[in-house]
Amino acid sequence: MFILKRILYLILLIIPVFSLKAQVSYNDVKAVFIERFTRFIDWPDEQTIKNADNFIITVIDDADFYNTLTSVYENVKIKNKKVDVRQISDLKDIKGCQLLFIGSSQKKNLDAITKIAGEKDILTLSAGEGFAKQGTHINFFLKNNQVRFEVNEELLKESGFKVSYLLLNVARIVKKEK
Amino acid sequence: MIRFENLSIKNKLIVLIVLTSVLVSVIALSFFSYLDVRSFKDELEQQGEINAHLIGNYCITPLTFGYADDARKILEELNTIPSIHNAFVYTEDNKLFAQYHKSPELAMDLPAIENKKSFYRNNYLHVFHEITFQGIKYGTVYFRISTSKIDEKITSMLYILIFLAVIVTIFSFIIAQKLQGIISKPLLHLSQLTKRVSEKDDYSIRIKQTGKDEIAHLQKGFNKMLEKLETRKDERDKAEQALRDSEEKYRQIVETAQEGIWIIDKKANTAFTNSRLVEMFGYSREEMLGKEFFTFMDDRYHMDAKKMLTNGKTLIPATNEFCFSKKNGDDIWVLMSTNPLYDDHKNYNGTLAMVADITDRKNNLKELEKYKNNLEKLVKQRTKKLREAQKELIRNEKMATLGKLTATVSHELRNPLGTIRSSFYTVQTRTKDKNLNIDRSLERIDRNISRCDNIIEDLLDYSRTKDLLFVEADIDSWFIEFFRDYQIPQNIELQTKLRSNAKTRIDLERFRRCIINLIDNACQAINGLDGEISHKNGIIKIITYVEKEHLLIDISDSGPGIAKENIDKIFEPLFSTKSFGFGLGLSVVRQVMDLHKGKISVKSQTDKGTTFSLKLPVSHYD
Repeated sequence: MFILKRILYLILLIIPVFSLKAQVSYNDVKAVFIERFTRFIDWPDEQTIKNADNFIITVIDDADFYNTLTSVYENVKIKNKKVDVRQISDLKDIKGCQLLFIGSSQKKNLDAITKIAGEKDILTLSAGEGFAKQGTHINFFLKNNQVRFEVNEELLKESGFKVSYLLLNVARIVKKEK
Repeated sequence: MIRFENLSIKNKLIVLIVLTSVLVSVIALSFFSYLDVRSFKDELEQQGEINAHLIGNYCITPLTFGYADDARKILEELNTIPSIHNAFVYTEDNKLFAQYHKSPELAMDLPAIENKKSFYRNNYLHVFHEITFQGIKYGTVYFRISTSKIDEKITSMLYILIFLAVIVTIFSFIIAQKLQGIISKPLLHLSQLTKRVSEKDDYSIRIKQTGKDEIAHLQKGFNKMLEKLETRKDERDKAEQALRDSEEKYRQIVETAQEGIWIIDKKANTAFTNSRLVEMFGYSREEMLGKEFFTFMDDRYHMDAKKMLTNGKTLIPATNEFCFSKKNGDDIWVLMSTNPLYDDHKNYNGTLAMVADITDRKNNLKELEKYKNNLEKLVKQRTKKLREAQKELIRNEKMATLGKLTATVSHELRNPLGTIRSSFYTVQTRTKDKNLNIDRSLERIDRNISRCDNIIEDLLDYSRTKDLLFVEADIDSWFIEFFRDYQIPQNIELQTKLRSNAKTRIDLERFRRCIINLIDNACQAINGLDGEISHKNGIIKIITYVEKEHLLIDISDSGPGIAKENIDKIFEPLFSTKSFGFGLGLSVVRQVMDLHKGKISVKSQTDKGTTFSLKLPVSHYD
């Protein structure tokens, strides 16, 4: 069963997202979307990523999504680097990754997490309502049963990320609430 | 239809200038229009590709995240560009992702992706653009762009072109009208002068030279040509005058020639005749020209003429006499000398014939021939008459001799003969019935006395010139009466066929003498010359009949006939084959026949007999 699922992910990454959306879960789509985001975003210190051995994705307290990511990226590279998916529960372990996924359960820790991430040039992705307005760079949401995302463009710019307008064209742009 | 070459030089120049201007303008404008349209098309293509690129770029993220609605919204933005009728976005694996149609009427099916980026087909510009980002293919965008703008552009260009062509035509016509004079005026002047030269034959005209261009060269050349023409004209005039004089001289010679001159072409048709020839033949010149030579010829001479003119051409010069027919049907004899004529390539081209009328000469010759023949006949007649005269002379000479003899015989022989006869009569009377066996001798004496008496009688008859006493006598009755007295020897059979039934005027005594002479001769011919009665049987035939108003009496015997060498001499006096007599019997017959205006002729065949024919004019015929 596990093997079958992995094959399914592989196909998912090769073939367009929309053609398989009926068969895959939202988590699967989100997992695939992560790699797609990295195509349109340059990290403030892109050279560091290039020099690194792996591209590290850290998941805070969301085992399901962690498993999905592990499965999806077992053989898939991001920015031509092998993907290292980690799961943490302690905020101290945030550092060292390039992309941090914040599950909806972390709403209360959101400020602290974004603060740490902002210091370490980590792109923050979340899947909770209003999370982008609260400080994550990109936040998934569902609209008409379709996984969409919103981008805090201002925050991305402040954090030193360079985002392609192409990505912004399909994203819902939000601003951080003060 | 007016042809270009028939136009005046002025109009030609105008037409050429206008045509050139319009042509150059149209070519130039067409070229620029073509470039403009081409550039417009390139621009359209470029814009199409740019738009495809932009739309493709905008579709990268919808394709990345599968947001087809986003892509559709992006495509709908194309409604601001009316020329784009259709647009499609394909996924990476060439499946439909999003589509756009300007209007439902213009909707179309998803076209298959082609390798070419853009191309024109079926009045549309088709643009395919591959959507890539950072080296990754996301899909393809396709535009179908209407080219109606290009058509509009071409149409407007065409209108401009026509408008400009009209403008150029008008302007170039006005300019050509003004400028053509530079070239046409000197040429027209030259043309007018040429016309004047040709019409008036005036080569003294010269044209005024203007400038130094080709027209000036032409003017100079024209003047030089006129100078030469003037010189040549003078020479030609002189030569023509000489030729005319010569022609006139020859014409006079030809027309006044005593001989006819006849030229026929290579098909033997008349090509030329002089006055003398038409006068000879009685035709007009028009009637003779074109007619075949042989049609004027008498049929009898066709063969000879054809021999001379084999296949209508004279092979060698020849002189022959021919007979032609005049228009009035009379024969005309001509002496014809013919000479073949040749063209510049030595090919036979006809014949020249000199014709002399020799009809009079021919007629004279005929007349002469006739005279010659008559003369010969006359000479023959005269010779004959001369011979007859000569014979007559001889006869007359013989007659003269006979005359003398007659005198002697009549006076000297008659009396002694009378004495002999009377003495013989006495002897005969006294010895009668005394059986002295001298009867035979006495008979011989009696016969010979009678013969001598006959000779004397003949001589007297022949020399007698007294007038004849003619009486009309029925000859057939006369013969019957005659044979009552005349005794024919017993061994001779007398056969008579008296069928004349005619009367003739005769001297009875003389005629009787003639008949006696002829019958005596016949009897002598049968019985022999000694006069003795032989035992041979013979026949004497007397036939009378009438032929052509003449009474004919044939006296035939069955004797030995007359020798051929003697037959012409038997009527001559003193000719005799007998051992006795003077040879006067037949001469007397002929003399008597002459006096009766009759004739005597003889036919004789050796061993078959002799026939004497007497011919006398008939005085009355029953």
